[in-house]
Amino acid sequence: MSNPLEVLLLDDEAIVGKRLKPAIEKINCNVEVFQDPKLAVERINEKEFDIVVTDIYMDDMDGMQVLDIVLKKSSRTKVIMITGYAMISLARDAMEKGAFDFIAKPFNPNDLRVVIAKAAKAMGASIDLNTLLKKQEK
Amino acid sequence: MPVLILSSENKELENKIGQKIAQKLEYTTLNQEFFSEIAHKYTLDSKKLMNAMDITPSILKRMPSKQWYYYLSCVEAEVLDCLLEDNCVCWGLAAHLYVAVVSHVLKVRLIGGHNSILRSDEPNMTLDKIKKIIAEQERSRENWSMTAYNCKEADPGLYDMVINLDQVQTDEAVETLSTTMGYPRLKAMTYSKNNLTDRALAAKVKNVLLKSLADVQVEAQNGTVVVTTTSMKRAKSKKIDTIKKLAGQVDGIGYLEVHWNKDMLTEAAMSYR
Amino acid sequence: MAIITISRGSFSMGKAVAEKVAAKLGYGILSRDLLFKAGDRFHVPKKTLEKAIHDAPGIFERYSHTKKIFIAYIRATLIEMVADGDIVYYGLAGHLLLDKLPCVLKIRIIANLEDRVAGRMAGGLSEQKARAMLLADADQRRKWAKKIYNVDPNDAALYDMVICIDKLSIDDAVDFICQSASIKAFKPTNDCIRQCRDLSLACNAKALLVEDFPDVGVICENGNLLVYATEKEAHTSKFKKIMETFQKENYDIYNLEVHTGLSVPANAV
Repeated sequence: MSNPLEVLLLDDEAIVGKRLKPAIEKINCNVEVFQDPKLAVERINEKEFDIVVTDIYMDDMDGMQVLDIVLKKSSRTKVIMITGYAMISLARDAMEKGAFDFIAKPFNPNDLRVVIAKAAKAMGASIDLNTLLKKQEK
Repeated sequence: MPVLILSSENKELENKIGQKIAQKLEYTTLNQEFFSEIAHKYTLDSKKLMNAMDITPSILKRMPSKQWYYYLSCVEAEVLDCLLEDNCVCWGLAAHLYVAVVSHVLKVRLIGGHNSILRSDEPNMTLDKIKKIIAEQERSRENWSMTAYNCKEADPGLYDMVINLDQVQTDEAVETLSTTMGYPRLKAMTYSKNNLTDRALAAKVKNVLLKSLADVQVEAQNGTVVVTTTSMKRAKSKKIDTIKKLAGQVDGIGYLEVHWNKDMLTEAAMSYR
Repeated sequence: MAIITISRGSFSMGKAVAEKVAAKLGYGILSRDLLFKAGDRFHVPKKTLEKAIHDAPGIFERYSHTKKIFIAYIRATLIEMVADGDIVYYGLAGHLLLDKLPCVLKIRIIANLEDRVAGRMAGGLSEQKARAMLLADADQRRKWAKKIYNVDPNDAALYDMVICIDKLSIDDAVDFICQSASIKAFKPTNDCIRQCRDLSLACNAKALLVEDFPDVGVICENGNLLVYATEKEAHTSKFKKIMETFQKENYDIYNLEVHTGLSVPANAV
């Protein structure tokens, strides 16, 4: 089995982290959850994550700024943007800045798992979703 | 996987530019040649189908309203299905009117370029005459697009950009658009793919319903389909049941909701009987 | 020698686009400072000129020629300032004031109303007030263009390109504009430069005549200045003096002709 992917999940709503962390851990990922973007950025500066999943509209810092910081530190890291206020202009801006994907809330945790699997593939790793999820069920 | 949708009154240039871009980017094309396939699939008269894309419903033109809306829904359902396949250049199918809020779709309007229409085999055709013809066509298209999709086809706000071909040459327009298609902001993403999938699903459901019913609007989001309909009160439960039965046959529906509104005008008209 | 005009509604990011285009191409940039220059040159307050080029003519203005006069002043100054080319003009009505000039790339930037309202609100206004101001401004622009030039400023056919800034980024818009500026149709040619010079002469002549002779039309072709006036106007001493002085001061004028009894051609200034 390949090394687990290091994932950072940032959303100012606690329920999002609570719901998504176990869902992502099922597919062989180590997940660190943050609600405070400043603390998340501090952690990003300490450690290189494979994948960062970030909300866009947050109080102290928005997800676009987090995207800039992550990509400045490591162009290898895949950043997935999530938001409840999706708009065509915002989505295009995110992609232009280098986001790997953009998902509108509400979404199924499995949608995020699929995107993470794609991100892993883009990084040269692989996540066999079906096998991992079946194993979890057992 | 971006998609390019072109719209123009100048069909010749639209076709030329569409073909050149598709060739340059190695994309598939989706244009009026698709009508015959749609007609075959739905067992429709292909001439009538093409006609429905040009004229508004009229008994005199042997195109009743119910039939017209059904024909349009066939085109919409098939085109949206094809656009899901991506890497495509689409024109001549009014896709710019029903594909909206999909970030990996670039919608471009081409105007002008009437000089290219002047032909040596039509000596009486002057630029002024052509402009008059085009203006008439634009009025007719505006009428059509307002009736079909409640928007003006020539409204620049519908598009990402409008290019005037009076000064910008065909090859320059092809170059600009080909370069634009490679921009990262037009990359497909989960959000845009889901939007397009939702639209395709809504179009499919609408198409199934419009075959036998009238007055239905359909929206879809993440597999949840909401159908809004109007009828007289006494026909309410029958219509809702019919909608549920027909829509239930469409693949991809996670949850179906039917909203019913009373048809006040017909009720009022019938109440004197 | 590309001349680029960027037309936009208020708070449509047109200024930002113009500044980036000018920076990228190394062009000069021009906007309302044009009004200062025109005001200094023709001794008219800047606010008066601003009103002339922004507000639709009022009832009384429709029966006087004040707007015509001020627009002629602005136009004469603008043509002179852009005649050397390599300039981006993002002030009002550039696509109309410069419509007779070749090699002008006319761009329109549009944005959806909600984004523009949000931009306007950043100045501390309420949403209602911001929306009302933007709609009133757009209405004035539309009426102005209709009254003065008989066109709808929202008609895409007036421009070479219309870019929707909320679907494409400012940087994308800048790229399109810079790419278009380099295409053949907008590259300077000798013919282009000559036409600019001719138009500048025609506009300057018109600016001198317009206050006393508002219905005069002027065309300049290859340095041949043709002035269309009524018989009565052409025989006044003031008219003759203005024309004499103008011809003396402008060595580019090869020949000056005054035509009377003819209708003013459509392409006259």
